[in-house]
Amino acid sequence: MAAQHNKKPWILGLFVLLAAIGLVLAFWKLLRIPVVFGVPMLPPSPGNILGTNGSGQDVLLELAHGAHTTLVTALAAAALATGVGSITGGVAGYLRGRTDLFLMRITDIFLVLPGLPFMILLASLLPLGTASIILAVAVTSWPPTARVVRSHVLQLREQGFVLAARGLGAGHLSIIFGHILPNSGQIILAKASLAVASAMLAEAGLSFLGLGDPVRKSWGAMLHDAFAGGALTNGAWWWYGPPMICLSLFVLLFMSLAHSWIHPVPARFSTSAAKKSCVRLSLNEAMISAQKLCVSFPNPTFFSQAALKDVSFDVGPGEKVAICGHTASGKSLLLLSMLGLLPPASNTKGKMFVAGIETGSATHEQLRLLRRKTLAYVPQATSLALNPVLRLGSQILEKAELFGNRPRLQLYDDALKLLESMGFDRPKDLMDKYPHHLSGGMRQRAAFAMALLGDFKILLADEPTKNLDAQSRMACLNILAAIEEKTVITVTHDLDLARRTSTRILHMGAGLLLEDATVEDFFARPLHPFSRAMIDSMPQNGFGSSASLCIPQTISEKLNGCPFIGDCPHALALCSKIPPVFNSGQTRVRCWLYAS
Amino acid sequence: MRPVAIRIVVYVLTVFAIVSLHFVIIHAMPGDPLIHILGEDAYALLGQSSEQLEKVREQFGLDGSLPVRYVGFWKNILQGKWGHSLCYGQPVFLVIMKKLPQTLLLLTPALFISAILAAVFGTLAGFYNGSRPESLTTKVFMVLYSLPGFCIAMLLVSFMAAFSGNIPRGGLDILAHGSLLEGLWIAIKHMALPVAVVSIGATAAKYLVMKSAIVQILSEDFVLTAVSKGLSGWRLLAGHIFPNALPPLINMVALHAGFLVSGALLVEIVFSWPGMGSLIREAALSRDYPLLMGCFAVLSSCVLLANALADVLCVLADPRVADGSAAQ
Repeated sequence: MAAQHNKKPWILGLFVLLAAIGLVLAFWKLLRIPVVFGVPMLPPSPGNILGTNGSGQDVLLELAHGAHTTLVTALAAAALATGVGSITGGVAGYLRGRTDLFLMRITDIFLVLPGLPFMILLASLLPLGTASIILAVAVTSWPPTARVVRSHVLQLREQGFVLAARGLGAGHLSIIFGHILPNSGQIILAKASLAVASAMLAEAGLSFLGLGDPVRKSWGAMLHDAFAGGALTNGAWWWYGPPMICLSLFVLLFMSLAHSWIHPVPARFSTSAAKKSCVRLSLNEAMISAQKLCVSFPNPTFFSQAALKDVSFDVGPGEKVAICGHTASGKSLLLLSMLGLLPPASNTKGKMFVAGIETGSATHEQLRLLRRKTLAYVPQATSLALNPVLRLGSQILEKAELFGNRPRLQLYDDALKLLESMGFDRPKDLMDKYPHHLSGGMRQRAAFAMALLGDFKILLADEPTKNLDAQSRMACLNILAAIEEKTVITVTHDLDLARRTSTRILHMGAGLLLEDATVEDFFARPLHPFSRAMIDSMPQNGFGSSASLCIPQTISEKLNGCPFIGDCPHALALCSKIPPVFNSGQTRVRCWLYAS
Repeated sequence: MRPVAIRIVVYVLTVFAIVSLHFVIIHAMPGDPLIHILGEDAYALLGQSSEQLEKVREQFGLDGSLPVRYVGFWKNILQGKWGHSLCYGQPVFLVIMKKLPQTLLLLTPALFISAILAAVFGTLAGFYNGSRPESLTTKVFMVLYSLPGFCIAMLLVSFMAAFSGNIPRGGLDILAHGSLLEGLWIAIKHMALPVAVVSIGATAAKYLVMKSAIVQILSEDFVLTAVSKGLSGWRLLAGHIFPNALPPLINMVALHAGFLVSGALLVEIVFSWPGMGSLIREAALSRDYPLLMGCFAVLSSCVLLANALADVLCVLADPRVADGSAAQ
C-alpha cells in the first residue's frame, strides 16, 4: 500500500510536466510572431485562436509573452531565494549557537511578515522593471528554505562523514560547501521547486495589482488588464481564462515536483478500512501460537535486519516466557505481531494466533477487543513512548478507565499503590506530571504501571527494566515475578531478569528462533552455540573465561545459510543451509549439531 | 516561558524597525522630508511663507540634528501623526483607521474558518493517509492552492455577472440599514463570498502542512502505545493525535497569517471591498510613501500580534514549551 502511494505523485507530476513542456515549446514558437493591434474583445475564432484582448492584441500571443516573463521572473527569484535560503540555513545549522539564534530570528521575522505588502513596498522603492520584481519576490520567499535546510544540516552535521572531515582538519567553509550542502541536494531541490511555485503566485499577485513590469507583461498583468478592462462583466472569458489556467498548471507542476522529492514517512500501523478476512480459531489451547511466521520488509533501509524468519512456538496459559537475543534480532517485532501492529510496509507469511485470533487478518474491531481485554503492552520507554502533551495520570488510567469495570476512585487508589510499589515516592505528584518531567527510568516504570493497571490475560513487556537503576529494577522484577495466572512475555537483554521471572526462554537471533528451552535447561545446558556464547558472556560467569565463540559481530546476510556461519567454531558443511528446528530432549534448537 | 518572552521581544523590535524604516525612507529620498509628510499641495501652499514652513517643520520635529529628529519622529508616531497621505489629502492615520476595520472584518472570520477546516481535513487526511478519499482531497486542495484567491474571486464575479447580472459589491456599514439585526444580515450577505474565497485559499495552504504534521505524529512511539491500549479510532485521534498536532497547528495558523493578509488584499480588490487592499494599491501606484509605509507597518503589526498570541497559546497547548524544554 505504501509503495503504491509513493508512485502516485510521480504519475501526476509526470502528466503535468509533459503538459508544461508542451506549452513551453508552443510558447517558444509563438514568441517570434510580432504582436499587432486588431479588433478588441474578439471571441476565439480560427484567426485568433484565443480571441483578442481589450486593446485588440491576440490573447494567445500575449499568453506566450506572459509565459516568458512569468517563468523567467519566477525561476530567477526562486534561484535567488534558494541560494540565500540554503546558505543562511546551512551556516546557521552548521555553526549553531549564537549565529544560529541570530540568523533564525531574522529568518522568522521575514517568514512572518505579510508577503504581498512587503513586496509592494520593496517594488515601489526600487526602480521599475523586471529585476526589481525578481528582487522583491526573492526577498520575501527565502525564509522557508532557510528553515528547512537548517534543520536538515543540524542532523547532517552529526553524521560520520562530516565528523570525519572535521577530524581531518577541514575548515568550516569547506565542510559547508564540500560536504553539507551537496548532501542536502534533494531537500534544496524540493524547496527550490516550491519556491518557484510560490514565486509565480507572488509575482501574479503583484502584477495583478498593476505593479509589475509595465513593458513585459506577465500572466498576472494579463489578469490585471482583463479585470481593469471589464472582461468579467462582459463575459470575455477567453481573456482571463487562459492566463489563469496556465498559472495554475505551472504552480501545480512545481508543487508536484517538490512533493515527489520529499520522502513520505513510513506508516507505523494501518488505518485503512477493515480487512475482509475474519478470525480463524486455532484448535489448540495455546494462548499464543506462532506458526511459521515470516516477516520481511520490501524497503531495505527500514527495519531491514529485524525481520522474522520461519518462527514457530506455542505459549500456554499462565506460562512466563522471556524472549532473549541480540539487538535487531526481531524480538520487538515478534511482540508487535502479537499486538497486530506490524508496520503496514511489511510482508507477512505464516500466522500469529493470540487467544484464538489470527492477528494478521483480524479486523480492526477484533484487534481492538483483543488489545482491550486480553493484552497489556509495556512499550520500550524511548523519549516519546508516552504522549508528551498529556498528563501521566490520564495516560496511566486511560485504558482501565475506558475498558475496565472498576470505579474511578478505586482505580485511582490502585494506581497510586502500584506506582508506590514500583518505587515512586510521591505517586500523587507523578500523576500530574508530563512525560518530559521524568527521567528515562521513571518513564519506563510509568509505562510498566500503565500496562499493569488494566485488565489483561497476556502481558507483553518490551525490555521493562531498560534504563533502570538497581533498586527500581529489583522493584519491577519482583512485580513481574509476582504476576500469577497470567501469561507473561518479556523481551529482554537482562538474562538475570529472564532467569528469575520466567519459566521458559526463547532465544532469537537474526530473525530466527534459535533455541526454545525451559529456564533450567537454558541456563544449565544451553544447546545452541550462540546461546552458550550469550550465557558465557554474562558477568556472573566471569570475564574472558569463555572458550566458546564470541557474540558474532557480523551476521551473514546470505539467505540460505545459517546466519552465524562466519563466527561459529562448529560450522559444518551443512551450515550453508538454514537448519530446521531439531528436538533435543525438551528443548527445541535450530542448529545442525543436533540433527538426529 | 523564556523562549516565548524572547520571541515577543523580537516582534516588538521588528515593529520598531519597520516604523524606523519610514524615517530612513523619508530622509533618504530626494527633496525636503517635509514634502513626504505634508503632501505636495500643502507643502507648496505653506512654502509661500518660509516662516510658516519653519513653524510646521518644528511641529513635526524636523528641525534639529538627525538624532533629535528621530526622537521627534517617534513622538509623532505615538501620537498618531503618521504623516500626510498624498492621494487622499488626509492624515495617514485617519485614512488607515477608516479602512483597517473593513479588512479585519474579512480576515478574522477567514482566519478561524481556514484554521478549523485545515485542522479537520488535514487531521483526517493524515490519519487516513494513502486512502482513496485522502488522495482525492489532497489533489483538490493542491489545485485550490495553485489557483490564487483573486482568480477564484474573478471566476465567481464573472459567474455572477453572467447568470444573475448582480455583481456583489463590498462596502458596508452595519448601522446604515435600520436595525442592527437587519444590518448584520446584510453584512453577512455581503461578506459571505469574500470570506469564503479567502478561507478556501488559506485552507488549501494549511491543509498540506497539517496533513504532514499528522503523518509525522503517527510515526511516533506514543501513538503505538495508545493503539496497543485498544483505543477506538476516534479516541485515538481526539485524545492522542490531535492534542499533539495542536501546537504545530497554532504555529502554522500564525505563520500563515501573512499569507492570509496577502490573499485577502487581492480578493478585496476583485470584490471592490473598501479595505486595505485598494488602499495599499493606490498608495503604491501613486508612490504615496507615508501611506504605503503606514499600511505596511499596520498590517505587519497585526500579523506579528497574531504570532505573539500564537506563541502564548502554544504554552497552553504544549507543556514542554511552558517548561522551556525543546518541543519537537
